[in-house]
Amino acid sequence: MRKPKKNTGWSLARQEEMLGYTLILPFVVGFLVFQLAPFASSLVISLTDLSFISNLEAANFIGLDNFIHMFSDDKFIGALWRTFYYVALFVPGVITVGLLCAMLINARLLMRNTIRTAIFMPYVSNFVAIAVVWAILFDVRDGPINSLLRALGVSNPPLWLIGEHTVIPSIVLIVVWQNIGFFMLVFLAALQNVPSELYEAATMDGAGRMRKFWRITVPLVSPTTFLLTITAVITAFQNFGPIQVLTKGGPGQASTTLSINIYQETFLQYRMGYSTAQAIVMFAIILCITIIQWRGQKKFVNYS
Amino acid sequence: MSTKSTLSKVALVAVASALIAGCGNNGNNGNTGTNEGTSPSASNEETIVLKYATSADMASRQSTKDLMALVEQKLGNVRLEPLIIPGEGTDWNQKVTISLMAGDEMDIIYQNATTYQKFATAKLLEPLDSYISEDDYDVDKIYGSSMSTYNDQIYMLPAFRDVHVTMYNKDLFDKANVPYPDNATYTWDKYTEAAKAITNVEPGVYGSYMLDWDNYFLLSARQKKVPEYKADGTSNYDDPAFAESMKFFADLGNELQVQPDMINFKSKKMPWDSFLTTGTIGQFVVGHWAVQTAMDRTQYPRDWKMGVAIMPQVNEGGKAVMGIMGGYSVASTSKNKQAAYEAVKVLAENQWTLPGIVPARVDLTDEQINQVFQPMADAFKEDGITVEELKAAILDPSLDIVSEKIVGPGMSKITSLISSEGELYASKQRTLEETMTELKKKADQAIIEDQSTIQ
Repeated sequence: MRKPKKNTGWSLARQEEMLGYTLILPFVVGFLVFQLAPFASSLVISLTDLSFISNLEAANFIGLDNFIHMFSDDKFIGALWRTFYYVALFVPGVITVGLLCAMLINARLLMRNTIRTAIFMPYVSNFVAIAVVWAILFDVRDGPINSLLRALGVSNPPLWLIGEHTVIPSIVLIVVWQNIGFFMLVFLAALQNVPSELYEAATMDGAGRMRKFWRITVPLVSPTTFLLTITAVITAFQNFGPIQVLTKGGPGQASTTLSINIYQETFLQYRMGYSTAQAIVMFAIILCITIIQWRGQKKFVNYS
Repeated sequence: MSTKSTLSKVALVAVASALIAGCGNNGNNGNTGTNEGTSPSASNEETIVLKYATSADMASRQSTKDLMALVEQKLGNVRLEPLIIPGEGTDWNQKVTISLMAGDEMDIIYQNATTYQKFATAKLLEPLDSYISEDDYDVDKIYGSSMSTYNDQIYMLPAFRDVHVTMYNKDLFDKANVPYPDNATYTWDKYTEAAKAITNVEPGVYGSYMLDWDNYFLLSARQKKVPEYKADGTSNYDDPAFAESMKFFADLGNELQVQPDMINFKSKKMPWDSFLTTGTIGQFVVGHWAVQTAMDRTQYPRDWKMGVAIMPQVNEGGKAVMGIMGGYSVASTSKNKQAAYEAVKVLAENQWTLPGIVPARVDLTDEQINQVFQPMADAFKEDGITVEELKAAILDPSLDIVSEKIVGPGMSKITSLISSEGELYASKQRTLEETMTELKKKADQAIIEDQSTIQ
C-alpha cells in the first residue's frame, strides 16, 4: 500500500523559496570559497609586509605603506603607463578590426564560411603555438615581414619583439589578431539583427555607404560594442599570458606591464604584500573604468 | 529499504568520498608509506620512507633512480621516494617554496650554492650543525673548500660541482688550421683569435657561441673576482671591470661578428644546445654539465669530433674558472630529520660514484678521481678526449673556482637585471654608459628592496 506523503508544514511558496536556495547553493559556496574569500584575504595581505618566502606569522601589519610606496616606485609607475599604452592600442584595435571583419563576413562574400573559420581559428588556438609562428614571422634578420619591408626599400626595419619601442605594439598586434575571431562573431550576431528595411529606406533616401554605417550600423550595434569594449578592457589588463610567453617583460623592462610586474614582485622579489597591493590597484582601475563605461553608456549606447 | 533509497545513499557516499579525496593533501606521489616520527634507530625491519623533492624530468632519469637506490643500499632501512614538484629551474624553486610554506612534508631538497640562502633565511631548511657535531662528522676533511655556510650555519652538504669549460669543435679548428686550446695557456685573446679564424658567416659557421644568461655578460669581471657589492652594501657595477666585460660580450657579436649577435640570437630564439646540434660552432664556454649532456649520442648524434679544455683565462697561466656547487639539504618540514640528515650524507658522499658526476669532495684519491672521468672519457673515445684532459679542465686541484652567480642581497633580481639590461646594450638599443648606469641604479634598488623584505 502506498504510504501517504509526509507533511513538511511548509507552504508552497516557502518550498519554492527553499528549492531556489538549494539550486543556487553550489554557486554561492563556490563564489564564497573561490572568489570572495581570496579577495578578502588579498585585501588583508596588501596591508602587510608578507614575503613570499616566509611564513604568515612573520608578516607585520603596515597599514597603507604598500600603497603609498607604490606611487614613488619608478618600476610600478613605468608598468602602469605601459599597461595604459597596451590598453589604448588593444581596445580600439580589436573593436575596429572585429567590426570590420564582421561587416565583411556579413556582406555577400566569396568563400564566406572558409574566411570566417580562418579568422576564428587563432581564437581557439594555443597561444604558445601562436607565439612560435609569430616569432618566425617577426624574425628581424630573415623573417618574411622584414624581408618584405627590405624588398620595399625599408633599410632599417623594426626590431618587433626585441625592440624597446616596438615590443608593445608588436604584442598588441598578435593579441588583436588572436582575438578578432571572438569579437567578429559577436559583432556578426549584432549585425544580423539590424533590420534590413532600415538600410533599404536609407538607400531610397539617397544615403551613401558611410552615412548608413554611421547612422544605422553604429547606433544599432552600440549595445554590443559597449559589451565588447568592457570585455576588451578587461582582456587588455589581463595581459600576463601573452607577454610572459612572448617576451617575459623584456627587452629590459619595455613590456613589463602591471600584471608582469605583479608576478615579478611576487616570484622574483618575494614581496607578496607589495605585489598584492598592486593587484588591488589594478582591480580598482578596472572597476573604475567599467563604472565610467556603465555611466557613460547612456550617451552612446542605443537600446531602442 | 527501497532500491531507490539505497542507490541514493551509495551515490551520496561516493560523492562525499570524492570531495574528501579532492580536498585532501595533494600527495602527488601517492605516498602512503611514510613512517611519521620514526627515527633511524627504529628496528631494521621498519623502513623509513623519505620524500625527496625533485622534478618530473629528474625523477624519470635513470641516474636519479640509481641515486635513490644508492641511499637504500647504504642505509638499509631508509628509502627515498620522489616527491614530484612540477617545473624546472627558477619555476621549480618557486613551487618548492610554496609547498614548504604551505607546510607540505618533504625531507630532502636539492639546492645549489646560490639558492639555498633564501630558503635558509626563510627557515625552510634545517641547520645541520647539531647533527654534524653529534655525529662527529669531519666536513672540512671531506668537502674542504666546497663547503659553504650561511649566517655561520651549515644548511647544505655539497655533492657535486659544475665548472665552466670550453667545448670546441675539432673539425672546425682543423679546417681553420688553428691549434686546439691548451689547458695551461688558453686566454680570451686566444679564444677570440681562434673564433675569428673559424668564423665564416656566409654558410653560418661561427667561432664562438654564448647565451643570454647573466654570467656571459660579466665573464672577465667574475673571473677577476671583482666584488659585486661595495663595502657600504650598494652594488659595484660602476667599477669599469663590469663595463669591460659587458663590452667584450657584445663586441663578439656586433664588432668582431664571430658569434651570432644578440638580435639574431633573440630573434631566432637560438637554443642553448646549438653547439651540439648544428656542428657549425667552433667554441662554446659553458658549465661542464653540457659535456655530460653531450655523452647522450642518441639525443645529440654527431659526425664531428669534440674537445674539452679549460675555460679561457683573462691572463695566460690563470686558473680562474666559473663554477657552482650543488648539494642536498634537509627540509624544515621533515618529520624524519635525523634520517634525512643520514640520507643527505650518503647523497653528498657518494653521488660522484654515478656516471658523469664530478664530486665536491676533496679527499678522493687519484684512482677515485680517474674513476670519475673514465666513463666520460670512454663515452668520448671517438673524440679522442682523455681522462687527463677532463681532469685538467674540470677537477684540477689548481683550479680557482669563482662563483658563476652573484650571491647576496637582491641576487635574484640582479641576476635578471644583468641579462635584461645587457641585452639592450648588446642589441644596440642602449649605449654602454647608459646600460651600466641603469644596472647600477636598479641593482641598488633591488638590494634595498630585498633587505627590507628578508628580515
